[in-house]
Amino acid sequence: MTYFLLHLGCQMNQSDAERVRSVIESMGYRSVDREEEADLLGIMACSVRQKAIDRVYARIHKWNQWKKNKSIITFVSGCILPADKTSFLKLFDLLFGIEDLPQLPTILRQYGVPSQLSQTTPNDTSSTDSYWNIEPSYTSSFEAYVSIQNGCDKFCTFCAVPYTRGREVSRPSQEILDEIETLVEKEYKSITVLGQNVNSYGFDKRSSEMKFAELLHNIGEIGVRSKKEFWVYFTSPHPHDMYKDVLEVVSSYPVLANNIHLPIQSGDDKILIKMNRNYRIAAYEKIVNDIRTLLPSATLFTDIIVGFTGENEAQFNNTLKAIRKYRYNMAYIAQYSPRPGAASYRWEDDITTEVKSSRFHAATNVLKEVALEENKKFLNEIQRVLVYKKARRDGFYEGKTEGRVPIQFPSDNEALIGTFVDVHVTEARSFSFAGELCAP
Amino acid sequence: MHSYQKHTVISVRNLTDTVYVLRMTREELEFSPGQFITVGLLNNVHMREYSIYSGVKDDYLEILVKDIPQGYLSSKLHQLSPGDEVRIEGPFGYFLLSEEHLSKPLHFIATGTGISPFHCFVRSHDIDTYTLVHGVSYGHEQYEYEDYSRKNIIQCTSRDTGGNQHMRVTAYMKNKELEHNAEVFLCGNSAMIYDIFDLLTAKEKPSEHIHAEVYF
Ligand SMILES: Cc1cc2nc3c(=O)[nH]c(=O)nc-3n(C[C@H](O)[C@H](O)[C@H](O)COP(=O)(O)OP(=O)(O)OC[C@H]3O[C@@H](n4cnc5c(N)ncnc54)[C@H](O)[C@@H]3O)c2cc1C
Ligand code: SF4
Repeated sequence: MTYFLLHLGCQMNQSDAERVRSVIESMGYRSVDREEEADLLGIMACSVRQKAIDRVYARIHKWNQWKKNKSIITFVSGCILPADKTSFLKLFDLLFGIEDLPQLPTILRQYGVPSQLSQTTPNDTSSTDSYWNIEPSYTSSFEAYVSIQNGCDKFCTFCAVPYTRGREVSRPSQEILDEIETLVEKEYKSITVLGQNVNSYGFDKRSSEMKFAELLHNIGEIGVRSKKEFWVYFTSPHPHDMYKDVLEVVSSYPVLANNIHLPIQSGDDKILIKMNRNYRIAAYEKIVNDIRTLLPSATLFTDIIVGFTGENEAQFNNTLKAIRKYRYNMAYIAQYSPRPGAASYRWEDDITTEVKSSRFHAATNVLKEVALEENKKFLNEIQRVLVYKKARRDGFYEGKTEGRVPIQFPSDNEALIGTFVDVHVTEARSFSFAGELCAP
Repeated sequence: MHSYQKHTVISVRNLTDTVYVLRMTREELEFSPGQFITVGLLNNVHMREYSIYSGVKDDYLEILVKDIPQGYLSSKLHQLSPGDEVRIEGPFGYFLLSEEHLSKPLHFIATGTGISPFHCFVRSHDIDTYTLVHGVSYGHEQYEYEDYSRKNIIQCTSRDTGGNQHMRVTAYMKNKELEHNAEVFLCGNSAMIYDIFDLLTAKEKPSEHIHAEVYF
């Protein structure tokens, strides 16, 4: 029996997809790359982006056509808005919430698919805790994502996640630490701790679980005990809950990587109010200053939305000012588009596509300038690099620095993939480096 | 994980032709004054955010809603009858009065149903150090003013002379000097919130003392 799983959307969905794979494979299914060869076809969907939703519809219409000629089963899970759920129910054979993943074998058995796992007594409670207990089937042998929290209570007015994933639920700390310890034992080199709001981790459990800084401290201790080299990242934190203690812990452990992703979204206080972001630029700036003091060599990444409803030129210029002032190495810049389900979906999307696009280019250009200046500071330095893959350019390999800046260097040694090497930085570009491999 | 709660409608109390209070069973919902909930009909996916209007000590749960005829949910909620059930999720939000705020001069500024979290504040906390500036179109739009202390409330009316001040909230606030340690809470439409925010920051009020909840 074979299966094909398409995952759309963010790293959270990718991490969930790894768990779905794990359950399906434990039922005896084998993954195939060509969907035409699969008996079971699934999508980890994302309602948050219209393009992703369009892809779901395109796929399921195609698969439903195939049903005329062969027997296949289709399913959908992931980050789905209630309104999309209603239409997916009519198109897919099966739809399940990620918290119901442990019941997937039972659901499939009820659908008429026998399996080894489905012979076992199913869990009668479906809780997020039990879905987290499923060991993911990691798609890489050196890079892994570890979910620590699901859902979001922040209700930023542009975002549908609180409506698709529901309330913030933190995974038990010990489970997270155990998973990371196992990954370290298996020689994983890059581990990203994931959540919609990683730094509000534990808030929902009041005092019964660790808070985020304490969790990071314990991860740091795993690093010390293991004596192994690896990097741990976290994404995304929310500036509202970003306390100094988190940065202090990062600065105390070498395995906690020198890279902070701190979504700003807008550089204007009034737009931040309208986005319901719950921080002001002055507070954001204080965190950036703390990062610069406590983690002087850290790279800083951010997320920015341009053309949010009502954003005027002056407000957009404040975002440009913020990029210049906070000196990001990377920013994920998005042109605002209303997300069904989010509060701002009901507000007038009054910035024209042309204006959004020109703001997007203006912001990207400023980012390119700033990132280049920042990257030049690394010129002629030796950077520790985790090697990811063979580059598209023949005779080159590609990796990432601890600060997550991509770097290419000449080599023909495939064995380097998944290992750390030292690279001498010979060229700095806006979003990448080029370099020469140092002698081992 | 979605954790909807079913609450039963106790009453629908009309304050004007278009503004009403929906009272529901509390169902042990714990919240902090100033928070909002999301509300929807049973068997319907559409939810909307509403500030909690009732106080933390009340044994019922209330929201103050403006019926928007061209809107989706607000007019449907208006038509509910006692005994009907609604879906509620929450509470959410950070539009809160902290212990530290309680000892400071407080300025609550609202347009329309944006008065709702302030009603919850005064019903839940024992406070008298506040002024409430409420912007509406007409003087008859006095949403249960008897629940506030009369001396603390200023109604600004833009379309008639029925309020204490026949002017927009922004015009009223322009000439007002705030105490240096005042905390300002703004709630309602974003146009008013933006104007007051500009006004206050021009007067060098630090932004961390300006709190805001935008409805639209
Ligand atoms: C955090 C938050 C808290 C809120 N609390 C309240 C509350 O306590 N009471 C309340 O009445 N509304 C509140 N709202 C607005 C509410 O969520 C709905 O948007 C509103 O009831 C309209 O819903 P609808 O489905 O009828 O119309 P929709 O189809 O959703 O919207 C139609 C249009 O109505 C306008 N509109 C929205 N709210 C208002 C309003 N209050 N007065 C005048 N015009 C409006 C907007 O321009 C919107 O585009 C809140 C919104 C947010 C984001
Ligand atoms: S953007 Fe805001 S609402 Fe969306 S997941 Fe992040 S914090 Fe939550």
